Amino acid sequence: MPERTIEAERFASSIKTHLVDARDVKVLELTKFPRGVSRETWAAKVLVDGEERAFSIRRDLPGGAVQPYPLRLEFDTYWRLKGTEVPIAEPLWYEDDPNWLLDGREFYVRDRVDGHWDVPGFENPAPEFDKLRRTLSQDHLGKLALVHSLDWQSLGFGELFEAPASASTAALDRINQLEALLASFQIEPLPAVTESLEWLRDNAPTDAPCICLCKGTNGRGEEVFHDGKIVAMSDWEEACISDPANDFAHMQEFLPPPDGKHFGGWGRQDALDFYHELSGIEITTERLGYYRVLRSLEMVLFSHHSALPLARGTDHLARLAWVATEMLYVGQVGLADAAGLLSEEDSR
Amino acid sequence: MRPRADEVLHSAIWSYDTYVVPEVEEPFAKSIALTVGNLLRHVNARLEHEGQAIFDDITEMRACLAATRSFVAEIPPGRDHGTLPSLSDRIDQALGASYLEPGQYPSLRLITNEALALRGILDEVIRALQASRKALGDSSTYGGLRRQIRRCLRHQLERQKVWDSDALSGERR
Repeated sequence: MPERTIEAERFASSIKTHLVDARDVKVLELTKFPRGVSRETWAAKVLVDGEERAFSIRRDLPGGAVQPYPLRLEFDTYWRLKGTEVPIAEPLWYEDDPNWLLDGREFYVRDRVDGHWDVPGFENPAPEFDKLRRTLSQDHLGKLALVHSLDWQSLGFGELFEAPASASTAALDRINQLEALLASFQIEPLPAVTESLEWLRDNAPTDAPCICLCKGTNGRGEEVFHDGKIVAMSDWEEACISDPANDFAHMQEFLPPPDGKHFGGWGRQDALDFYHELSGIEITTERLGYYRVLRSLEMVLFSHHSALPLARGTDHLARLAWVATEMLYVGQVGLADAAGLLSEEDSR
Repeated sequence: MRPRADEVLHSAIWSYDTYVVPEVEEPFAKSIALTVGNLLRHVNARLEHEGQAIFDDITEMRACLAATRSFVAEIPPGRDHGTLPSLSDRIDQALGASYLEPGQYPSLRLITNEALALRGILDEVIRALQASRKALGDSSTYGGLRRQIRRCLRHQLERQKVWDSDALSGERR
């Protein structure tokens, strides 16, 4: 069952090829990371010339990725972030040599950063953990400010991603990109999505103060923490050039609610002001709300993309079926709700 | 005929949830086990509800497409029709097509094919109507047709909710 394992010998050969001076390589342990749906992540403990090293291996699922973006793009994003202030696990190499593929799949390797995706206590609703939640949120907002302040053009992100023509067209350009991408792999019509696109276009904000590198999925479950601080920003597979508000719409659990409940009264506007002070970028609640709807369109894309390997018979993983059904439904409902489709009193 | 397929599946789900899932400890396998449980519940709900739902979808989409044909026919000469007229033949084709051979059982797969064909042309109609909004949007029939289509789409999502949302419970993965 090659799809359930990593062939240790082949991985060792890949290490010898890419790590200069590595002569004696022994793979001690390979563990599949249980979280995450879109791709496989493996933790590898390896003895390289007597020294123990820890790597992370990323590869697509046997039938491809959940996200409609290539693995190489994720690696190239990491590569361009090397040497910036943004904390990441250092990317090491991308393996596409047919001799060393793992189960016939390309993969890339990065250094493994010591830490964990979760911080104990975050989920505990007791007030004594409010300060922890607020601290984590502020740390995360600080790191996002670093990402958004990068000079994305000089770092070469414009070569990786199709940048909007301007800040004022960022939302509209993003819709057009996503619509074209969906059409490139769509296997059945989605008329509720088509109907909702009109609302998205009619309501696209034109007041973004800038465009920047956006991380995509971010927040709890997407970053690596050590001693209560972010030591690596992880999971860049949905990165793009966009209005920074886009990242706030992707943020998982670190953006406090408007009333600051469970964050010691430190509310959403406080968080947006905190970020504004750090970055100089204003995030309005209107743009944030809009990009949350646009997030539903992205959800439609990745969930419908998950149906492809099932339809082609190239992968049968149950998670794909779940994403392709429930998540597609959630995405469609998110769009339909914003577009007024779900209202009995449709005013159109 | 007893137990029926749904009763067998319900029995399998109950047994799986009660005896198998609690015993799975390896994190990845545990995650997959939770997902599989939900997928079984999803399939069970589809077995029970999807046939009627698709049947109702087809009825509503046919009505929308017929209304589109009437709308196109009534547009006064000289108005910009956009791409709507070019869709008329394809609408007629989709409405007039036979999706079942004589004597053939209307299986879920066959009626799904019919629904997909109608959805495809409805999707194009929506695009064409959106594109002609500036030119035709001031007419009440335009607004009425758009509302009819939107109502049809809302009903589709409401029907799907039973198996794509309500049937799923607890942890997903």
